[in-house]
Amino acid sequence: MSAPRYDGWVPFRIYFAGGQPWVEWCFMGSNRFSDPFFATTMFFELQTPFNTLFRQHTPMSELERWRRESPGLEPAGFIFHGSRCGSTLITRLLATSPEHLVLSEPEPLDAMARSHVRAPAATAEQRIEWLRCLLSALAQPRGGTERRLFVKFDPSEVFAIPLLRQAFPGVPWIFVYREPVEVLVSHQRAAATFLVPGLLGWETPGVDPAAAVTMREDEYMARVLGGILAQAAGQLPDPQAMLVNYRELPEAIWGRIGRHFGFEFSSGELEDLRVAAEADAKRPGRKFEPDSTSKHAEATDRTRALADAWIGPAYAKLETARSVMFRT
Amino acid sequence: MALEDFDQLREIVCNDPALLDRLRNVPDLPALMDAVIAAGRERDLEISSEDLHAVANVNRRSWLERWLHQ
Repeated sequence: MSAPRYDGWVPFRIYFAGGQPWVEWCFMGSNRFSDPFFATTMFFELQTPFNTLFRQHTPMSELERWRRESPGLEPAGFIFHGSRCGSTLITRLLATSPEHLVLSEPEPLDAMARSHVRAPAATAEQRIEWLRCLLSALAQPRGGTERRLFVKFDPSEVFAIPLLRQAFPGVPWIFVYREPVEVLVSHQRAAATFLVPGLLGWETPGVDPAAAVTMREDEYMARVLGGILAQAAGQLPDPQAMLVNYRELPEAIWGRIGRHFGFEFSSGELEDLRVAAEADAKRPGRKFEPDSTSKHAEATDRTRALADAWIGPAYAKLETARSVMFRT
Repeated sequence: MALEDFDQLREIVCNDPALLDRLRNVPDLPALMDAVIAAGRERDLEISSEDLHAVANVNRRSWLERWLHQ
């Protein structure tokens, strides 16, 4: 019997057993990642009758073999971000091109980037190999027209940038961020998963786990958000890096972001992009409504003080570094 | 024994694109369960409706609990 093939199968979950990562696959055929987030597409795919019954579970060695047999697209660009800052708009617009395969916060890759927690005995070389094999399996062309792969990571993966840069050297990356009060107010309205204390581990430098559980929620959020921006600033200078402020969107997508990632949208695509940019990126059926003014109006004195104290310094560093990038 | 029989059928399905395609196009879960039981019977594999409900529950739980083991 010949070795199994995984055409049409997608690794949607990584779990660790006995200190080793295992992979759970579902069948997507040639369906595309058409939703704002990888997890949303998976949620719908897993509701199908077939995927309700039929899954595959394999060790990582099968991904290593599958990578040799059917290598996925090489990444053309990575997107890191400070959350609630327009990064989903960037992926949505990149995905309008049939030449682009866009993975928006693929949870298996996030889990693998944190493999040091569940597989502490694994060497850095092993973890890098796991990342390469997993991304290769995720990056199988879906419709046959894709030539470039873009990956947006969960905000907490900014701490994995050094590992990801080792695993995928030479891949250009951007860090997207937004004015601190606007981001903090957004999380006060509805906090993201990575801002729930302890849910994704305790790796945020500067936030003591013991203090975090007694800290007020808004302070914890401000400290973590500040830690993410500080971590991004700490990666600079890097010739592969580019900083993008929310204020530059959407024009930067078909401008300097595209150029940084090594391509340009055609003039015919530009009009479609401008129309697509008018939709709410996370709720595509709705029109985008600018909300910077309402967020500042909603911010309390305490919110502004927390943003200034914990996020402001790193934000200022990023803005200084961004202005230098514009001059060069 | 029955779940082992389902595991055997699953392996057959994953390596038989035509069978996979046929089962994938079954429009709802009760009809798919009937098709899977029949496909098993054709191969001398004994798979019951109860087995398939158990498999479906395990699979649903793996998604809901995905953050617990990563």
